Amino acid sequence: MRKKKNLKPAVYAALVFCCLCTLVPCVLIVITSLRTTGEIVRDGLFGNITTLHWENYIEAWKVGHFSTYFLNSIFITFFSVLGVLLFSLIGAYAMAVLNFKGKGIYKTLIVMGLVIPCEIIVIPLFYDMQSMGLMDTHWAVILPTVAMNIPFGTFLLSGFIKDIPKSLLESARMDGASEWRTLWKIVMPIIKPALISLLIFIFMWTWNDFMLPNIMIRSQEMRTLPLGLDYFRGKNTQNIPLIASASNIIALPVIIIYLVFQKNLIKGMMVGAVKG
Amino acid sequence: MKKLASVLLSVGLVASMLTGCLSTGSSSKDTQAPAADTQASGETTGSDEIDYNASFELRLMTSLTGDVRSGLIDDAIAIFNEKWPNVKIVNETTGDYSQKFKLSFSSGDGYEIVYVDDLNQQTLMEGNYLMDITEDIKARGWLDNTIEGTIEFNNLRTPGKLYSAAFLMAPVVVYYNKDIFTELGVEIPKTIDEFEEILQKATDAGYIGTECGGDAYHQILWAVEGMVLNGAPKDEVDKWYYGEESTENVKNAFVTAYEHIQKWYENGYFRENFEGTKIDDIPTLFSQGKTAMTLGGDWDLGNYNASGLNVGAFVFPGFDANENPYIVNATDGAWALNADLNPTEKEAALDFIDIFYQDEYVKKWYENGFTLATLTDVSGIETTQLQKDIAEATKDTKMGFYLDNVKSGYLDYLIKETQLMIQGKYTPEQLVDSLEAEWNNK
Amino acid sequence: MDGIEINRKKKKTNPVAYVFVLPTIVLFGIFVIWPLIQTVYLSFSDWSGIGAIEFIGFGNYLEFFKDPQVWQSFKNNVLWMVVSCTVPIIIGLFQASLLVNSGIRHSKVFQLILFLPQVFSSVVAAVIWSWIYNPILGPLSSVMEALGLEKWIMPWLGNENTVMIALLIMSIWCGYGFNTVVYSAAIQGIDSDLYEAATMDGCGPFRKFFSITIPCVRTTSTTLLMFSLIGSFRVFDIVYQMTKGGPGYSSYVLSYHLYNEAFIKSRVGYGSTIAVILTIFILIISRLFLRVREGGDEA
Repeated sequence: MRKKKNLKPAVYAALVFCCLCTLVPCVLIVITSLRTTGEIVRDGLFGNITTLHWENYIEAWKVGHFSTYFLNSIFITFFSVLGVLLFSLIGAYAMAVLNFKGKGIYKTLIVMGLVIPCEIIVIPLFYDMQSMGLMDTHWAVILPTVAMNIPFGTFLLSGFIKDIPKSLLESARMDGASEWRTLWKIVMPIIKPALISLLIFIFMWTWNDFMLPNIMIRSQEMRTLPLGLDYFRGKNTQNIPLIASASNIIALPVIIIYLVFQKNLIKGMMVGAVKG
Repeated sequence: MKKLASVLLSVGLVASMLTGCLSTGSSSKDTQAPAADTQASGETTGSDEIDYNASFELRLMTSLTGDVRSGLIDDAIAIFNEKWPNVKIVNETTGDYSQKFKLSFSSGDGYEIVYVDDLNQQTLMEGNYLMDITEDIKARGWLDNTIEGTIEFNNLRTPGKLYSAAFLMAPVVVYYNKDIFTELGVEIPKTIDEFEEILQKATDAGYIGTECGGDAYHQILWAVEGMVLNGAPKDEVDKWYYGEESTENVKNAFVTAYEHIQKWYENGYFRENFEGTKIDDIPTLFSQGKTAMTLGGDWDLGNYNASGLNVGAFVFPGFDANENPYIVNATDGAWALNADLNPTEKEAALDFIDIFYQDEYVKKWYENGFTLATLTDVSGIETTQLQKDIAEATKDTKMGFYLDNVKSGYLDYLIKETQLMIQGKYTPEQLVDSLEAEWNNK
Repeated sequence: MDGIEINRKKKKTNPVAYVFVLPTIVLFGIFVIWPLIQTVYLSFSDWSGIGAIEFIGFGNYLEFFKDPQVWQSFKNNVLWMVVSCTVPIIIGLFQASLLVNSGIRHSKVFQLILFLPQVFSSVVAAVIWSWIYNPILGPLSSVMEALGLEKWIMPWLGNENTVMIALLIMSIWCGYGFNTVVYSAAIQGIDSDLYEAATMDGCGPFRKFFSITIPCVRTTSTTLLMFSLIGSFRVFDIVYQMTKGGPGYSSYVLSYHLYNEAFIKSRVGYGSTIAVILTIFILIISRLFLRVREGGDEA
C-alpha cells in the first residue's frame, strides 16, 4: 500500500507530460478555428490574438450545409457501425474458437481486407455500384464501408477472444450450450471493452471518411459532413479558420461518442473482474 | 498462400475476359456520340417548339469550389429559374472534379453542363463527350461580348469549332511592396534584366527579393513559364503545349529560364529556408513587410489586400522592353455542354450559360475580386486599388497558357524535378532533359 | 457430439461456423474481392480513366520493376515500418499501463486527451504540424532560437534529409492514442488476482509490468504490431497532406505513388499495377507474421 502511494505522483507527472505533448497541437487547432484569414495574413497563425471569432463555427455550419449533411452522416455511420460490429463479432468467434474447412482461406481473406488499398478499388467499385443501381444512395457508402472494415474488426476481436481462457468455453460446451449461446452469454460480456473500442474506431473512421462518399454520392442532399469541407477550399486558396472550425464541428460527435461509451469501457472491466 | 495468390490472379484474368463491366460504358459512348447532334431522344420536342415550362434536371460539375463562387452560381440559378421555372439546376461541384468527370462520363451518365479547364476539356473531347456549340456561341453574341481571343483560347486545337465558352480569366501577376520600391528608388521593371536588378538591390539592402512556396514551387514555375512564353516563338510554344512537337527553341527557352532561376537561388534572392514554407504562407510572409515582390494569381487578391501594406501589382516582364509580353494568363475554365443533350435541354443549358455574359450579373464576380473575360464596363464599380492595378497591368498583355497544364500530372512532375534542381541534383540542362522525357511519355 | 472434443486443434468442422462467416464472405466478396479482380484486370492495361481501355499485357509490371520511384518509396515505407512498429506501440503500452494499473483518479480524462489526435482529420492536423515545422513562422524555430540553436534551424519539411523524420514524429503523435485505447481494453481484461498475488509476493510495479502485463497482452501486442506493419505500407494521408511526396521524391511512399499515377497522372492501369503488387507484398509479409504468431501460440 505504501509503495503505491509513493509512485502516484510520478505516474501523474508522466501522464501529464504525455498529455501536454498530445494536447498542445490540439489546442492550436482550436485556436486556429477562432481566427480570420485576414488576421492570419497580417499577424501569422497565432500572432496578436485579440478577438476570438466564435462566429466561425456558426458560419461553418451554415455555409457547409451541415444540417443536411449531419443527418446523412448519422444514417451512414449508424448502419456501418452496426454492420461491422455484428459481422465482425460472429466472424471473429468463428476464426478464434471454431474449426471449419476453409478456415485458412477465410483467414487469408481477412488479412487481405486489411491490406487492400481502398484508393484503387474505388474506381471499379463505382462502376459496380452503377450497374447495381445503388448510385447516390446511402447504401452505396454503407455496404462497401462495412465490407472494408469487417476484416479489421474480425482481426481485433479475434485477438481478444483468443485471450479468453479455454476452460470457460469448454465448461459452457459441457453444459450443452450452443455456439450462439456461448457467444452471447459468455464471450461478449468479457470482450465488451474490445467491442466498445471497435465501436469507437469504426464510428470515427466512417464519420471522417472522405474518399468513399466523395465518389459514391453526387447530389447535395445525400452528402456527408466531410464533403462539406469542400466549401471552404477555393481555387488555390483555403479558408483555414473555417476549415478548422468545420473540422472541429465534425470531430465533436466522435468525442461525444467516446465519452458516452468510455464509461462502459470501465464498467466492463469491473464486471470482468468480479466474474474472475 | 502463394498458391492462393496465383489462383486469384488466374481467376482474375479469366474473369477479365468475361468482364464487360468496365468497357461497356466507354465503348457504347464512342458509338453513341457521333450521332449526338441528330439525336432526339426522351423529350417529345418538335424541331422548333421550345417548352419553357418543361420539367427536367440539369446537373453542373465545375471547378468553381468555395463558398463565394457557390453563392454566385446560386444567384445565376435564381435568375435562370425566372425563365425556366420548372427546370432544376443542381450544382454538384465538389473537390476532385476531374476524377468525377471521368467516372461519370465514362459510365455513360455524364453531367449535363460542365465548367472545365483546357486540359480537362481535351480529355472529354477525346471521348467525344462535348457538344459542338460553335453556331450557338456565335448566334448569342458571346464572342462580341468577351475580350478577343478568350473564347477561342480553350478551343485552339479545333480551329473553327468552339466547344466551350469562358467568362473568367486567371492571370498571374507580380505583387510588390510599393514602399520598398520607393526606398530602393526603382520602377516597375519592363524586362527580365530590370526585374533581376530589383532583386539584387533588394537583397543588398537587406530585404528579401521574392518569395516562393516550398511545397508547391508555383512562384518559380510561373516565372519559368513567363520566360518560356517570351523566349521562344509563340507558335512553337503552342505546338509544345498541344503535345505535337518539342522544338529546339522551346527547349532552349526552358534551359535559359531555369538558368535564371538557378542564378536567383545562388544569389540569395529567395528567402532562406523557403523550402520549408507552404504556398499558403506567402501572403503572411509578405505582409511582414520585408519582401520586395512576389508572383501570385488574381485569386490572392484578397490576401494581399489584407496585408496592411502598400501593395501594387505589375505583370511579369518579358525580355524585350518594346513589346507587350506574353504572360501566364489563361481562361479560368469554360462552360461546355454534354453532347447528349436534347434540343430543349440544350436550349435551357445555353440560357443558363448566357447569364454569365450579362453585365448585370457578371459584375458580381468582379465585385468579388475575379478577373472577367467579358467586356463589361466595370469603371463604375467600387473595388480596391489593387484590383484596378491588376486590370490595368494585364490590359495590354498577350495571353499565354499555363504550360504546366500540358498533360495530366505534369505540374506535379515539374514541381518535384525543380525541387531536385534547387537541391543541387540537376543542372538546368539535366532538368530540362528530364522534363523532356516526361513530355515524351505517352 | 460437440462438447466431447476438448483438444482445440482437432480438425473437426463445425457447421455453425459457416453461418457465422457467411455475411462476411458475401459482403467482402461483392464489395472488395470483385473490384479487386477488376483492378487486377486494369493492371494489365493502359487506361486514363476515360475512353477506351487498352490491353498491354505485362507492360506495367515491367515498368514497375524498373521504376526508380518505386525503390525510393519502398525504402521510405520500410523506414516507416521500423519506426511505427516500435515507438507508438511502446508508448501506447506504457501509457495504458499507467492509466489502468496505477489506481490513479481521472484516468478517463487522461485517456480522452491521449486519444484526441486520432479524432482530428488529417487535413487540420497537417495545417498545424506544417506550421510547427515552418522554419520562419513556426514555434520549433522560435524555441531553437531561444535556446541558441539557430545554426540547426532548417526547413524540416523541405529538406530531403529531415523530411521523413519530421513526418514520422507527426505520425507517432497521431498514432499512439490508438494503441493506448486498445491496450487499455486489453489490460482491463487481465485478471486482477494475478496482480494481487504478485503484490503479496513483494513485486514492485516494474516487475509486475514485465512479468504480468506484457505477457498477458501478448495477442493484443501482435495484433497491434500487425496493424502497424500493414499500416506502414499503406500510409498515405500524412504524406499527401504534408508534403505530397516532396521535396523531390524524398518522402514518396508506395500509396502516394499509386495515387499520383492513377489519379493525378491519369494512368489508372499503372496505378492498379502498383496496387496489386503492393497488396500481394503486404499479404505475403502479414501471412508470414501470422504464422510466426501462431507458432508462438502453439507453444
